[in-house]
Amino acid sequence: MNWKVYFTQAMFWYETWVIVYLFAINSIYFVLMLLGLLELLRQRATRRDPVQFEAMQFSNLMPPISILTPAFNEALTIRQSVRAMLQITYPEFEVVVVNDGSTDGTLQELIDEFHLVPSLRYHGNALKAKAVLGVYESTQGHPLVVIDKQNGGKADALNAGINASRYPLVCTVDSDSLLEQDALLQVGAPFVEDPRTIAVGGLIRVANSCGIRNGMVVRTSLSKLWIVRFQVVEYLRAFLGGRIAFGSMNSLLIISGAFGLFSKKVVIGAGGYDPETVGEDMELVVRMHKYALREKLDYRVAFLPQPVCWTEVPESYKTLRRQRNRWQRGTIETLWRHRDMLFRPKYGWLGLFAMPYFVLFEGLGPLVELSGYIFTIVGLAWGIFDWNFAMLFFVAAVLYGMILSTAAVVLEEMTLKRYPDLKNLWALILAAVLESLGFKQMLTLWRCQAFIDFAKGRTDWGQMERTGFKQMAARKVAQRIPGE
Amino acid sequence: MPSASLIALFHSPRWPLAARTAAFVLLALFLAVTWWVARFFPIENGLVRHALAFITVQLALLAVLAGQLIIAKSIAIRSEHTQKARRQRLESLLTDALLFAKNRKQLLADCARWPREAEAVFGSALGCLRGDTRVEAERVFIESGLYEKCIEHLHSKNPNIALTAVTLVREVDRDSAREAVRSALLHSFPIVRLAARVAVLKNGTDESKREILEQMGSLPFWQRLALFHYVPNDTELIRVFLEKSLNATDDETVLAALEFLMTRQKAFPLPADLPVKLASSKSPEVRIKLFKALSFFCDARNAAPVLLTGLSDSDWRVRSMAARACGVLRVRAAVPRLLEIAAHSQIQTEVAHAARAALVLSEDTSEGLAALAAAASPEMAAVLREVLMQPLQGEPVAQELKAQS
Repeated sequence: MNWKVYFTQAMFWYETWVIVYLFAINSIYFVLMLLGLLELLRQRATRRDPVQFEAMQFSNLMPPISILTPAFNEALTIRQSVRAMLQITYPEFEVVVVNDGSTDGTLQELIDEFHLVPSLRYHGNALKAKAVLGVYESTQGHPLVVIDKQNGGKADALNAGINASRYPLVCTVDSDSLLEQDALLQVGAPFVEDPRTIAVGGLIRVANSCGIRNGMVVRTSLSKLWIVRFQVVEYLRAFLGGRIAFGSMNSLLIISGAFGLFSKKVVIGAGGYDPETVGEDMELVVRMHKYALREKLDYRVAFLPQPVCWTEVPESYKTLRRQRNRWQRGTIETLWRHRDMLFRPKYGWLGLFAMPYFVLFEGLGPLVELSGYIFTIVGLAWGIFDWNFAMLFFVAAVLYGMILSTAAVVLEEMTLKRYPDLKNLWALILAAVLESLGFKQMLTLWRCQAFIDFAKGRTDWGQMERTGFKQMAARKVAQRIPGE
Repeated sequence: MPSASLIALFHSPRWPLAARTAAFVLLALFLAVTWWVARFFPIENGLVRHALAFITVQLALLAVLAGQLIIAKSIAIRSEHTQKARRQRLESLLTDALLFAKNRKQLLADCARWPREAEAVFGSALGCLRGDTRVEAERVFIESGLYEKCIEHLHSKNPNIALTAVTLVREVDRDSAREAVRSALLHSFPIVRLAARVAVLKNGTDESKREILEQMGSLPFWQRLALFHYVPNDTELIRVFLEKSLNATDDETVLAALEFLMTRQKAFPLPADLPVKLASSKSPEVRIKLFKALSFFCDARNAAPVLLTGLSDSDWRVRSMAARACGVLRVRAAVPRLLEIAAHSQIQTEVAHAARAALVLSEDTSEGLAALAAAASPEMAAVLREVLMQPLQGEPVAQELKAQS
C-alpha cells in the first residue's frame, strides 16, 4: 500500500510545485509588463523636436539601409509589399527581394510589376547560401534588386540577401508585411543617436481587417474573427510588455524576423543566419550578443514601439498550429544551442536573467502547464485532490493570464492608441479575457507537440497559407477579368 | 503631463535602476495586498486561503483595469472631439482675423480659454504662412498673450514645456523672440538646447548663427545631422564657417565641416591648400570624408595631386573614396593608378570604385578592364563585370559579358 501513499504525496507536491511555478511565471510577466509600461511612459514623455525627423528625412548622413525581403510563394502579396517598401521615407535605401525558389510565379509577378531585367550586379559570398540563379534590377529607376535563388529556407534567403546588399545596415522585412512610411527613419534613428547600437527591433502589428491603400495601412480595425483578435492581444502582450522590458535591460533575445534592423558588419561577424534552425531570428540575435561580448564591444540591442510593421496573422487553426509549432521548436533549438550562456556571469543580465527566464518559462512553460492540467484531472479522477484545490489551480492559472492580457491592452491604450473607437476596445478587452479560456490551452498543447517534433529532428517550416491583403485581392480580381 | 522631476528622472542615467525598483515595489505591493486579503478568509489550509486571496485581488485588479480602460477611452474620445472642435473653431477665427479683419476679439477670448489648442493652431499657422499674413498672425499671437507665456515657459524645468515654447517662439520674427530663444541655449536639457539652436539658425542674427556653427564640432553627430538641415543658404556665413573649421586642429571640428559639405551638396570656394593639409591628417575618418566631400570645394586641377596621394593611402577605405572622387572630378591623370588598383587590390569595394572611376574617365579602359575580368579570380571578375555592364548597357562589351555570365 506504500506506493499509493507515495504516489499521492508525489502528485500533491508536484501539483503544488506547478502552482508555485505558475505564480512565479505570472509574477515575472507582471514585472516585465510594469517595466514595459514605465519604459513606454518614459519614451512618450521624452519628446523630440519634430525638426529632428524632418532633418533626418533629407540628410545624406543617415546610414543607408538595405531592406531584405525573403519571398517563398508570395505571389499573392508580393507586388503590394514591395510597392509599400519602395514608398518608404528614408534618404537612401535599396530593396533586395530574395525569391527563395518559389513555385507560384512570385518572380514573374515581380518582373511584370517592376519591369525587371537580368543584371550582372555582384553578390558576394561572405555568408553561406544556396546558389543564385539570377539577379534582376528594375529598369524604372526603383532601388530594387531581386535575387532568384535555389530554395534553401528563410535563413538561407536572408544570407543571400545580405551577400547582395550594398549598405551598412540591413533591415529584414517579411514579404507579407507592410512597413509604415516612417518606420525606417524611426528604427534607424538609434544607429545615429547611439553608435553602440547593433540591432533594433520594431513593433509588429496585426493587419488582418485593417484598411490598406497603396500598400499602407490607412485605417486600423479589429478583425471579426476571434482567432485573429486573440493574436492581436498576444502580440500586444509580447511586444509591449516583454520586449520593451528586455530591451531596456539590453537583454533582448528576439528581434522578430518580420521587422528588424541590424548592423551588417556584426551580422556577418556573428556568422549570419543559420539555415539549419527554424527560429533563425532568435538564434541570430543570441549569436550577435555572444559575438559582441566575445569581441568586447560596448553594444546595444534595442526595441522601439514606434516603428510599426503590419503583418498578416493566420486565420485558420491549421496554419496557426504550424506557426506556433515552428516558433516553439525555434525557441527550444536556440536555447539548447546556447545553453552554455545559462547562469554565466560573464554574459551579465543575459546569462543571469534573460536566458534562464527563456529556458524556464518560454521554453519549458508549455510542458509544466500541460502536466499541471493532466495531473489535476488525474488527481481529481483518483480522488487525490478535492474540487476546491483543482479549481484553485485552474482559476489561478487562468486569471493571472487574463490580467496580463488586459494590462497589455491598457499599455496600448495608454501609449500608442492605434485602435480608434470604443467598439474595438471592448472587443480587445473581451479577447484578453476569453483568450485564457481555451485558446491559450490549445496553444500550450501545440507548443508541447513541438517538443516531440524537436526530439524527432523535424526542421521544416510547414506550409503557410496567405489570404493576401484585402485591397490587393480585389485588384488581382480586377486584373484577371479581362484575360478570362 | 508628467512633472518636471519625473521627466528629469526619465532623462537621468539612474532611470533603469529606478524603473526596475519601481516594478518590483509594485509587485511586492500586489503580494502584500494578497497577504492582507487572505486574513479575511476563514479557511485553515494556508495554501488554499492565500490562493483564494490571490484570486480575489486578481479579480479586483482585472475589474479595475477593464473599467479604467473603458472610462479613460470614453473620456479620451470625448476630449479629442472637443479639442478637435476647439482647434477647428480657432483656425476658422484666425482665418477670419487674418484675411477678413473680423472676429479678432472672439479669437483672443478663445485663445485665453483654450491656450493649449491655441498654441497648436499658432504653431502650424506660423510654420506655413508667409508675407503680410504671417506678420499679422505673429501680431495676433503676441496680442493673445500666448507669446508672453511661451517666453516664460522657455526656462521651464519641464523639458516638454520648454520645447513647445521654443518651437513656437522660434517662429516669431522679432528681436525680443530672438533674444529669448538665445537664452534657451543654456537650458539643462539637450533636446531644448537643440531646438534653440535650430531656432537661432532659422531666425537668429548673423552673429548668433556663426556661434552655433562654431560649436558644431563639439556636438554629438545626431545633433549635427539635425542642425545642418537648418543652416541658411548664406554663402559668406558658410564660407567663414568652413574655412575656420577645416583649418581647426581638432578632428571633430574638421569632420563637422566635411559632413556639412556632404549634406549641402553644393560647391563652396575655399583656399586651394586645404585638401593637401587635410589629406595629411592622421585620422582616417577625416581622410575618408575629405575625399567624399572633395568635389564640393576643389576643382580637378587642384585636386589631382591630393587624389594621387589618396590613391596610395595605407587605408583601403581612403583609397576607395579617393578613387570615387577621381571619377567625380574627372582627374584623367589618375587612370593608370586606378587600373593598377583594379588589377592588384584584393578588396572588392576598392576594385569596384577604382574600375568605375577608370571607366568614367576613359572609355578606352573598358577593354583593359574586360581583360582584367577574364584573368581575375571569380569574385573580382564578377565585381568588374558589374562595373563594365552598368555604364555601358547595350554596348557590345556589356552584351558580350552578359552572354559570358
